[in-house]
Amino acid sequence: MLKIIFLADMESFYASVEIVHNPSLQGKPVVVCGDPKRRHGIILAASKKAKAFGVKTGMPAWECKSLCPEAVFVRPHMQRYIDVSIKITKIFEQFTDRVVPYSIDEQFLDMTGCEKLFGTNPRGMAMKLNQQVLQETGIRCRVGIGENPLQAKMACDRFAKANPEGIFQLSHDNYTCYTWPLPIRDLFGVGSRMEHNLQRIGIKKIGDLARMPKGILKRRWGINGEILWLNSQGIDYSNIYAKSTEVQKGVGHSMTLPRDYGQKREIEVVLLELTEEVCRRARALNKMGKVVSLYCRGTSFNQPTGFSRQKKLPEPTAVTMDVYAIVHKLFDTYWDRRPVRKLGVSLSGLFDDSYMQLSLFEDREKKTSLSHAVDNIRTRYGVTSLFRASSLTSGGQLFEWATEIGGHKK
Amino acid sequence: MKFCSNQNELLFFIKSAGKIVPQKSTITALEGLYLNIEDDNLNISATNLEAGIKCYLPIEVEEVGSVILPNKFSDIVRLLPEKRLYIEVNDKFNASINCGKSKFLLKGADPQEYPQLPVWEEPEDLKIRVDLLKDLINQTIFSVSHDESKPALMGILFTLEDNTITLTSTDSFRLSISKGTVENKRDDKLKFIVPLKILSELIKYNFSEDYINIKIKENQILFKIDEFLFFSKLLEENYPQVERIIPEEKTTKAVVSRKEMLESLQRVMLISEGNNFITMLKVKDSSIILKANSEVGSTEEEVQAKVDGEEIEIYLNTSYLIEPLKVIDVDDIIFNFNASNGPCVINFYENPDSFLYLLLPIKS
Repeated sequence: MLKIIFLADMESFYASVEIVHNPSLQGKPVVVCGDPKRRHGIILAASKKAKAFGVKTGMPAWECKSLCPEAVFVRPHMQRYIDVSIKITKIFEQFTDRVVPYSIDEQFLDMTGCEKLFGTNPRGMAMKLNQQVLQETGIRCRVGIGENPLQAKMACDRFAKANPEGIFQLSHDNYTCYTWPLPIRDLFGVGSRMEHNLQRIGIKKIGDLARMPKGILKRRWGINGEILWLNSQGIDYSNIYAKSTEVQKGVGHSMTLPRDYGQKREIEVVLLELTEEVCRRARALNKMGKVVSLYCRGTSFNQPTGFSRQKKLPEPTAVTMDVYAIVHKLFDTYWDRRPVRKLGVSLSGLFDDSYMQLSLFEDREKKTSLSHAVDNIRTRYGVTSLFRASSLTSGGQLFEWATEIGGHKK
Repeated sequence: MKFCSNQNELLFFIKSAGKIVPQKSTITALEGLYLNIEDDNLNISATNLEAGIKCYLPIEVEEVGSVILPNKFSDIVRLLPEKRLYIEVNDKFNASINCGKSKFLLKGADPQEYPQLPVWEEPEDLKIRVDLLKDLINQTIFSVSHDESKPALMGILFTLEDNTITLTSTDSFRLSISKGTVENKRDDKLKFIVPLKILSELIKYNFSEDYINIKIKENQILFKIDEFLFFSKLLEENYPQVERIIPEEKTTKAVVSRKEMLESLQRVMLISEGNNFITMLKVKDSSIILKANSEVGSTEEEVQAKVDGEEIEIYLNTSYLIEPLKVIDVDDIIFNFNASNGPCVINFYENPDSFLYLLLPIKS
């Protein structure tokens, strides 16, 4: 049976939420922008009006100002966006029980079989969906319709966003005629690097790729090349749940520092805080990890320096200080002694923590239950209720984090 | 320095020494091979400051001397034809290598730059059958820890009392102890920790002599056999007291065929490797039942056993169980259990004192 998959995307999501929250912004070029003092001064979202001036997501604040001097800058409110996103999921759940959020402002819906319920075709259902969202949240929703998630995503990004009613339908019958004339970068899965690679071998349009023999792409880029070829044909064997049923493979956390850190002592404090956060999240999932990774980026923006290294442990753990010993060792071994801009720690190779290999020389159970006790206190009284003294030193970021979500104010 | 030798003889020794040469070192001299001629021998040495090898190769000497040649030397010798090799090093330490129709000029370095290497002096402190020593190392080396935060555990502990040599290793999850007899009786007790590297090299060789001589000199250990001298720094750490960990009592004892158990475990591992090697052992009546499950599926194996004592259920790591069974060479082994949260101890059925493997369980 042919499936009916929707990808619903919220227009200028953060900016739209801000406008709904503060109606005096209506009709103005609104941009949501991080705090330039903390080096988050990039555009996170721009309203339709601001986009008309050429403002794009990811642009630094100064560039936005020069393009659109009258732009209204708003600081992000992350908790507000999360709340609205959840509200939208609830609306979608009135349409189908198969809703899978793809990102904060994009959600997949499997509408297969629902046409009987709504007594209309997919297009009609999408219109009802858009109306409902606009009515309840004041935000404009665009829907891409396809026979698989890929077609829905392509329909939404390439067509629905650009047409006035915000709806577009792709199918195996019309996929070729609509997408093949598009430039290759418009194909889902093609980033700037891949675009460059493909252009070098003369592939400029999606159709050029589609007409290549699959074998050549497979030989060159492996499974990824094959997937791109399938994407160019509108073929996608996945379903929208594939992601939701997938077991979590790792827990990671990274942060861009508010200023460049050159002193080892300061970097170490952040590494410990990151490790604590990663381990806390692993423990919350009742998991322990066997592979510790450290990511470190230097200060040069144009010429990325730094490293990403990992080390495997003999036995999985989620005890902060055990993981930190490895993080510290990795950092000590690979750091080039130059200032650091961004740090990340992750724990992967996850296993259930209900089984624990006992040790001859230490009480691993006791260490783990101590960690859980600390977590419980922090869950109940806040992350700053119990912390390491090093977080009070100049490098510490814990108290900033406590007020943030995803690096921006709650 | 000037000598000639056969390509294949020289290659064998250069390859042995080359395995010790560090890829990158803060002392560039160590990235090469140290060659010097003494009497009628060419000595080829390599060290990474912790471990080292020196081999003696009888050659036709025309002129004595010494030099450091880059490790490229071994690649050159490897690819040269099996013919006579003529090597001459001038006073600028440039070596000209001639073999058949090939000619190489290789830039060397001043031998003075090379660190001083230990020298063997008679008499030896210990003499032991080399195949026995290799067995003892093989039976313990897999339990050596790679955790740099526990430096003492990164080597094998050697203890000598009377004429008994005991090798001990642990990575804190399991403990291996194997015992053998040395040829010379000692009056004093000896105790030292040998780092992994040199031991893992030593066991790869097939020696022609039956006995290996061992000497402890300050903080170094030297092994002498055939045309080789192996040496290594000792780990100057305190090894934990492991004797007290070994339980006196046992609630269940099971005798099984090593081969059967090993084969079953290897099959179980196909499943358990997806679940951090967790295997459940159920010891009852006249068998040990092994069970494992992971995302891919589940398995159950039954191994015939002579069981004595209480019925027991215990979780153990499959990989940790397989490793000792692979290296020991006996027909029957004994599994001793001490309830489901106590350690599992494996001994040989015959001669149970010569080997002990203790494995801590996984708590669920």
